[in-house]
Amino acid sequence: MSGVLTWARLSFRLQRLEILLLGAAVLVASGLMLWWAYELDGIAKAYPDCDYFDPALACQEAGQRFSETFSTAEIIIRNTWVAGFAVGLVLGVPLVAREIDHGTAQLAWTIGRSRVRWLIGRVAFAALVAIVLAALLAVTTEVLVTTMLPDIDLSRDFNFHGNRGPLIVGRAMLGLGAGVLVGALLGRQLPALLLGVFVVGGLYAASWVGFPLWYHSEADVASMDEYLGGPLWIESGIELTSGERLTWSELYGGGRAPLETYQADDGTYYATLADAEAERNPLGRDYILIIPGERYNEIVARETAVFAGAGLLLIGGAAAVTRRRRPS
Amino acid sequence: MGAVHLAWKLQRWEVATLIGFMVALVVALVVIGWRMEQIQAAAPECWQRDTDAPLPAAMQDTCGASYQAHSAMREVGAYAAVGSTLAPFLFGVILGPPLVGREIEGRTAGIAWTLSRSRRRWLALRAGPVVGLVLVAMVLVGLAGTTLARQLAGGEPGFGSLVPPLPLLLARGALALAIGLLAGVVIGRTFPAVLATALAVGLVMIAASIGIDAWMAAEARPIPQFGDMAGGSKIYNTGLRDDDSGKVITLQQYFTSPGVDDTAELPPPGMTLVAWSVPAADYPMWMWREAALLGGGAAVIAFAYVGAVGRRAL
Repeated sequence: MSGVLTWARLSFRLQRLEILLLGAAVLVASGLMLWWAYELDGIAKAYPDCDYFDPALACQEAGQRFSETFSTAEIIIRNTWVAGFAVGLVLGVPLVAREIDHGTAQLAWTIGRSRVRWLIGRVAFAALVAIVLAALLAVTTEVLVTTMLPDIDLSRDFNFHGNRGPLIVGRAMLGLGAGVLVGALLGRQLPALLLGVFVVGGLYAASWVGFPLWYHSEADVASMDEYLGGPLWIESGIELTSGERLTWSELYGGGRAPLETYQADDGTYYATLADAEAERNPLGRDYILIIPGERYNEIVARETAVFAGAGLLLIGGAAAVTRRRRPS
Repeated sequence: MGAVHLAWKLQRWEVATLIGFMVALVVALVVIGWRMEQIQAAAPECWQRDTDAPLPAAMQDTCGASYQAHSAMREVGAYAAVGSTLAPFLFGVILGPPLVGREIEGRTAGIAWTLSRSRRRWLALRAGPVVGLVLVAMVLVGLAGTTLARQLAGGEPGFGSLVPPLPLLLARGALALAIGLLAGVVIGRTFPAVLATALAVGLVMIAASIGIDAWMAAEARPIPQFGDMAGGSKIYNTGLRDDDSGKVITLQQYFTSPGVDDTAELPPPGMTLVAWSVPAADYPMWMWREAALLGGGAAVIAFAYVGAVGRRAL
């Protein structure tokens, strides 16, 4: 037990200022989110019969208060996707880079039984702090979104997907892994932080492109005419009469249809107004590919696992670099 | 030259990375803006239509391709715009804290300050090249982004402009740098000072944004909608103006008045729809106000910084 306490105390002392600053920022952000959640919940309970997004006459004052608080809360909730990455990156970058930057790596690595063992000890504490801070954000974002959308079961809905819940923790692990690896490679804190921002940005962009491609084959086909709940949108376009599917940009950009098409009441698309009126030569009907809201938890678990797994791989890479690296 | 050389030696990693970022950003801003202009110039008949009528069939292929290409560049341009928004903060946050923070952290401040004639002289020599770099970088980014700003705004940039204009870039860069310099002296450790600077800059910008927004809301005036109001205006509320008396009420006041039919079409006879707004034509004035506010803040923090360096214990 005393060994664990010593490890925790020593690790904390090495990153005291980063942890305190990050902790303060996370506490302020969480406090604000909980305050807005309390406000929104209060309005919802005071006016239980009001619809806040299309307020009837009697609900206008409540509707305006709700909508103003909603808009303010939305500013922070729309930016929480970056919070996990930032927490991980800030904790990860200095782990190896600071020792090299300050010329203390030689000493630290000589005292330890092995460099990898030393690194695991350092990363474990940073990961623990990152998980605690990101988990706090994960919980408070869920609480806030629940009060922002009081009529929706958010465990079955992709509203604010990526801005709430455990995904923030997964991203923190990816940020941590990228930070440790870049820090170990460069051996300089500030350049590593800068490069880490670009690396994490690139990885996020890759996930933004990669996940929809992954989901493409397992998505459900739906139509705009039906009630969809809160699905994850993958793709939309037109299904031609030949059965071929084209996205809207493929249809219009590829010259497969004139720039302006006409949609009849039954949803069928025509190339000209005359065709639409005569109901001849139809182009096809619109289609959308979605992941239904019922799969929200599964998708979040999957993405969280991918981010966290990628983070662990990067930490493994950092261990390999640290093992072979010159300490200066 | 000696000061520039020393600044480069001490901060070459950060400076090299930031110069690389700046060059990439400037090239992206110029190339994307130029390309968007070229696309429009290649098919002027598609971009100078003053009617909402459907495109003639003969123009559909040409205009479709032109709109598609312009839209694709617009998407990429939006990312470059984000880069130019972040640039002043990135430069200030990364270059400011290490200037003194690294000397204190590395315990070289004592030697450096003792060898120099005075701490202020040392500070001027060390900070000069960094301030110069930030200013030059912001001027380049600001000038490079002018074409793209017009293209993204579809005319002269207004309040919704995605690319910050040059005066704002300079003021934001100066503010972020001043906060970073002060954080470096106060905290005395580079990495935590960078983190503290990022948080402080974020808070200051949020506060400034809220303050300026409240100021603008207080100066917003009712302007007829769909008439005199050009795109790019900042709207705060909507209402109705009595054509005879000139009295203006909000839509909320109107709908909560007794006897009002809330299903009837707006505006009712004898009234005009108005929006409490700051017109796009006022954008330059507000831009200069914001720049002056942030620049003034930067100057105050810079004075505090000089004082802090003078008094800082080793």
